Amino acid sequence: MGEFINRTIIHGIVGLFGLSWPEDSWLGYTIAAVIQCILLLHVVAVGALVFIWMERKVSGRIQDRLGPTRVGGKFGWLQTLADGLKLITKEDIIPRDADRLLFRLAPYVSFAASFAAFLALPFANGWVGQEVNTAVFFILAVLGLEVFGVILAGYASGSKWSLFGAMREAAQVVSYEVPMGLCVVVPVMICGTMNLVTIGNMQAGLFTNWLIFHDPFTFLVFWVYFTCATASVNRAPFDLAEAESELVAGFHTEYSGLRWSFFFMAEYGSMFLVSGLATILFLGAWNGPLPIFLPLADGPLWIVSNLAGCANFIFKAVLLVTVMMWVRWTLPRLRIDQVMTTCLKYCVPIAAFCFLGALVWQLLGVPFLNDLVPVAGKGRWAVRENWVIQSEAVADETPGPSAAEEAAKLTRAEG
Amino acid sequence: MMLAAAFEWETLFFVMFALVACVFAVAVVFTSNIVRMAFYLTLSLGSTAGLFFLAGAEFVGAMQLMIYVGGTLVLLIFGVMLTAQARFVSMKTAGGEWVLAVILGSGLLLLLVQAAMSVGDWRTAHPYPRLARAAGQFGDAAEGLREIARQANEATADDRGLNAGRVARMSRQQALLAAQVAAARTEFAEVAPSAVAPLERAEQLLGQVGQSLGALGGEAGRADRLRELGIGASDAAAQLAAASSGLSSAAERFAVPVDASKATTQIGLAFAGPRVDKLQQPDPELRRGMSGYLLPFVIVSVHLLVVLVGAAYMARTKRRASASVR
Repeated sequence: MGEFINRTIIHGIVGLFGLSWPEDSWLGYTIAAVIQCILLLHVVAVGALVFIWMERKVSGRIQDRLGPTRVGGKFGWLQTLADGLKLITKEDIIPRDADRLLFRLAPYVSFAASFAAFLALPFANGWVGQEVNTAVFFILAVLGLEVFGVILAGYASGSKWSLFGAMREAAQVVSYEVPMGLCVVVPVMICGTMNLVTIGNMQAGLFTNWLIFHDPFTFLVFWVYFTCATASVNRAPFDLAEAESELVAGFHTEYSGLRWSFFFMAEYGSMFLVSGLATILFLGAWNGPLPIFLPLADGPLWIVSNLAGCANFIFKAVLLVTVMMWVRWTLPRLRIDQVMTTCLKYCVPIAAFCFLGALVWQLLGVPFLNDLVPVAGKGRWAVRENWVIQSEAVADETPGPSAAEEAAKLTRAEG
Repeated sequence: MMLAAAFEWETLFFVMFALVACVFAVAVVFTSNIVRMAFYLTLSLGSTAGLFFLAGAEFVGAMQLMIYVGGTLVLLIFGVMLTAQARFVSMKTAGGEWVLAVILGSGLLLLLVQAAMSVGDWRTAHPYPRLARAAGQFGDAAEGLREIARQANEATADDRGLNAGRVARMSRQQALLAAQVAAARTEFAEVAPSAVAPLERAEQLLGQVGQSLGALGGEAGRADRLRELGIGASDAAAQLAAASSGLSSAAERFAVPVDASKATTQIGLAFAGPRVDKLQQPDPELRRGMSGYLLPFVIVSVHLLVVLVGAAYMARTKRRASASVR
């Protein structure tokens, strides 16, 4: 994008005055970075706005109420904005016993961790803030830091409720990272890459190509992942860190106003993030159930295909977020020992079993739904090694060079 | 425009991350509150992860976040907060401990500085693309020079002059090419030694061609000048072709199948395992000893973990009840 801005836009403008502009200038990259940052910030902020309204509506419907109906006319869709205004005008209170520096910093740490992980999350083929080769690992690593803000908040508040909440959160998140990591390893193993864009492209075609249909074990592991993801972002029934019946409000008891809303935004941001990760790893990423827009992907109308992919991706991720809300308003909160039992006695063994199962399945090459319609005509490996687009273009002109030769050629070209 | 060329985000980010890492590392030493110490340590280690990402070593960067930052976090929780009874634990160090720490720390610092100085510029990109590009460029330039020689020879044979516009264009080409050759000679002196001699020779010949062209500009149509120009240009073309083949053979040597991440620098690759700078090491004995930096990285992280456990242990045993509450 930086090169594009330098080459096409700035060069075009400067060209009017008869000057030329270097392709690798810092200005194009800076503009590209600012655009991407603003877009991502909107995903988190506007996403939180919509999700909080949705949460109210969903909870209302589940409890046979209407939810917000007044603000903003129909459906009360401006309710969150009104809440936000209220939060901004609230007094910012810091308790006397608090560690003031850490107390002030904690919400930003939480929010920054949640926001930074979006950097590596692709929204469509190639539409990603920064295409990180080890994106899965990066997202898990950064997401794990969100708990740091929670712990700092709990510790710095100088309140026993907060400290209890933070300790619970710490124990819970650290435990649930184990099964979550195990679940994420399964699709990574099947695809042989940690690059999320590649993993997404490997599931192109009919919906049977989604990794959740790779074998029965991946189908099972998806549900384990979703459970662990719910727990790791602290959603009910795993929201022990802020159990209002026991701990007032847990780690954010002492927070008010805008600082408190930062925690909220971080929570909804992480919800979307883990749902997006689940979508990419298991549910076909930006590929729709039927490959309607796929033929456009290589042509001049690729942007239509990408927009449709982006809509697909956001729809699936929001669907998963809705399921999280549904679960929250359906199931009662677990006790801390039940939370640990769920993690250590159920999630970890099931995830490990599924990992082994998927490994054996992959090793034996047993056919399943994935094999009904092969991916992109040449199978997953071709997508990963980036052979598909170029080799098909080459095949049209000259039938001949073997896959290995093409690969060698490609690495030369890219090296 | 000049400012645009001089400004570099990379340097800015490097300085920023480095400053944050250093400042908070110092803050760790000068704080007595253990939780703040851990917080500063996390910031310091986090910006070190930023340095890794800047070098293009994405895996190691994520690793740093997970092991160091995540590890510190867990340690903070279970090592310090659960073992220390008072809410604000402060650590006091005796004079002897200071001396020991200074000796140990400066020893490690010396080792680190020595190691850091032995690594090349961290921004050095993989030489293959540059070499391949230069090889292609000089191949094209050789073609261009042959064309000049052909035209000069034709003009000599027909016994007519070259027109002034064409001569001016030729001398512009020649000046550009001479600058490129001079730059390439210094740039590839180490990585492609076989191309240096032809490049030097080509530079001289190009100088001669430039002189001939300049003379032509003055009194167009002199046959011996033209002949001189033809010979000089074709010689220079031959030298450039030799340089081009030298460069491309050097490029072949560097053509490691590296994945598409074009941002990855040599040092970034070395963090992940492959040492592409090995290929420049002429001594095969030494070449074998150059492993990637991942193993030392992991050893250091284990070392840090031990230190942190030790710190937590000290915090537990050396608790001073009187100094604990602020």
